[in-house]
Amino acid sequence: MSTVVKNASLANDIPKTYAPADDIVTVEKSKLSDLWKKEDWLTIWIGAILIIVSSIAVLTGAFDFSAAKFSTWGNGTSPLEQLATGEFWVKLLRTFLVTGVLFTAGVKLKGQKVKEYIPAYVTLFVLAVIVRFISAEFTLNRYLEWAFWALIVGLVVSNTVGVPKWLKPAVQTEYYIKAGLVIMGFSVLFSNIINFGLYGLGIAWIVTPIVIIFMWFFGTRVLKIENKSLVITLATATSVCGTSAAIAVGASSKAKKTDLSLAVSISIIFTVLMMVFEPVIIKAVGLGEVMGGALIGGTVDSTGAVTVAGTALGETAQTVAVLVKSIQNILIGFIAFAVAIFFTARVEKNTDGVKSKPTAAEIWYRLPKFIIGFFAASLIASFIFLPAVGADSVSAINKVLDQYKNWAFVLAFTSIGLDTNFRELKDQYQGGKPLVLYIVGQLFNIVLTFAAVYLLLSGKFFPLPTLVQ
Amino acid sequence: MKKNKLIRITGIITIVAILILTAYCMVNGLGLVEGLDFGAGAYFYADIPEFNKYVNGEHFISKFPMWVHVMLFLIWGAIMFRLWIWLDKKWK
Repeated sequence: MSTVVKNASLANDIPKTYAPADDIVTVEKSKLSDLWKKEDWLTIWIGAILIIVSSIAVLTGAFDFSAAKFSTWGNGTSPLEQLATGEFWVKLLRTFLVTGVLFTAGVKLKGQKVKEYIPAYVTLFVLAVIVRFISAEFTLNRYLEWAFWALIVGLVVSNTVGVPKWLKPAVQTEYYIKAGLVIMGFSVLFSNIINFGLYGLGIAWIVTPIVIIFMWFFGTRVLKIENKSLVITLATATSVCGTSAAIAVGASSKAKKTDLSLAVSISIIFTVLMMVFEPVIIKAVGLGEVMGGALIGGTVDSTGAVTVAGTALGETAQTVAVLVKSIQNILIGFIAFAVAIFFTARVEKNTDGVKSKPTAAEIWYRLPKFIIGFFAASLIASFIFLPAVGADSVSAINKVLDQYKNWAFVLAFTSIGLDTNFRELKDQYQGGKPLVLYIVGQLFNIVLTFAAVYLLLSGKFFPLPTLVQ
Repeated sequence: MKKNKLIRITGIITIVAILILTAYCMVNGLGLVEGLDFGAGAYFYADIPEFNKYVNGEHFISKFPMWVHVMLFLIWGAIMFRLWIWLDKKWK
């Protein structure tokens, strides 16, 4: 208890404007007023409002609430084509107004100055539009996520012309990340757990925690990386699903912005290579579509890359790959929650030098509350919406929500870039240790997933699954 | 000292090689599938057209009810979490 009180009083003593510049999540003691004053709770309400309004819009068909999305341009399609349509500008204006009003209301409730936030937010949103425009280019769209370009655009601005003081009020990485995660919760359907039966559960769920634990000890004990948040963020990006998992676990382990940038950058680059070469290798060794698809679903980091790599093997492989990946995606919330508890109980305790076991109350004080929002959204979508309105309607709602989530994450990653200098990123390199951790962890992941796939899907130990295309 | 320098140089060469290989894949359009207007950066419902067709539960019918899957999921998760804490205490 003393630790919390000590931390809380320290937090209360410092000026309101102070926030460690490189943290993506910070904590204080809980109070009832936190529900309408603290960022964690405010992001839950922002996510809830977006989920409610999107659901009403889709289910009643009374109005269009969809956010803007750039269509692919290049390779014969003019970038100006979509800009010439009125529909695009209406959607962009709607996106700006919806996100702007919600984030500004949150800023007001947090006690920050709205007058300073609004012009800064307008500029940040313009940068986010540039990021999404660049990442919609034909080739870039097929290989590198917008998170990568958001970091690059932010870094270019901050390391060339610099970030003017008036823009800083909108550079609030954790605020946008938490809101995006709550929205994302709605698309993580727990009911997907049954979609490939015990085969899918065995491949996705048996392997993933073992890889995380392996990478944790390899990173912290063998490579002796002192930055434990970086280790766990990289481990979950490797074993679960790349950027989304890195964002969720980075937030729950209170990783620094540079930790998240590094983990996401490594994951994005290697995802390209795995998407290209894994199907080629699988074909060369003659693994077959079911086993090959399952291996891809269990090891390739992003859902988009899994779909492409699976399709390269065939229709059955595509289905199996996405089924396995969709089970892995369920893990994001649970692993983020487990990591938050582990860091509260084991890592932070050691840092503070307190040996006593933290009480449930202490764990609650320190637990990032947005995780509750993520879980609530996921459970409501899985067990209330899905049975009540059907899979097609939930899918239509998620089509709307996923775009708002993307905008929130683009704002977050652009903020990270704006708040980072190249020297900080260079310091993160640590003699190449994070890269070694990723490569060794990913190889271990591939070997272990292959063992699970062989055990469950080779037909030698268990009957082969019957799939319907 | 020499060993550290060697490790550093090897690391830099590895990074540069990975970046060149990635750029090569992108420039030559390797790994793409004709007809799919998305790639590695695509997110579920927002970017992958008709994503629901993959996860609508119609491709495979499990012999076991949902609760069996949920119980196994939770039991394995709890065992792994305990193991993680136990190993962390044990391996100082």
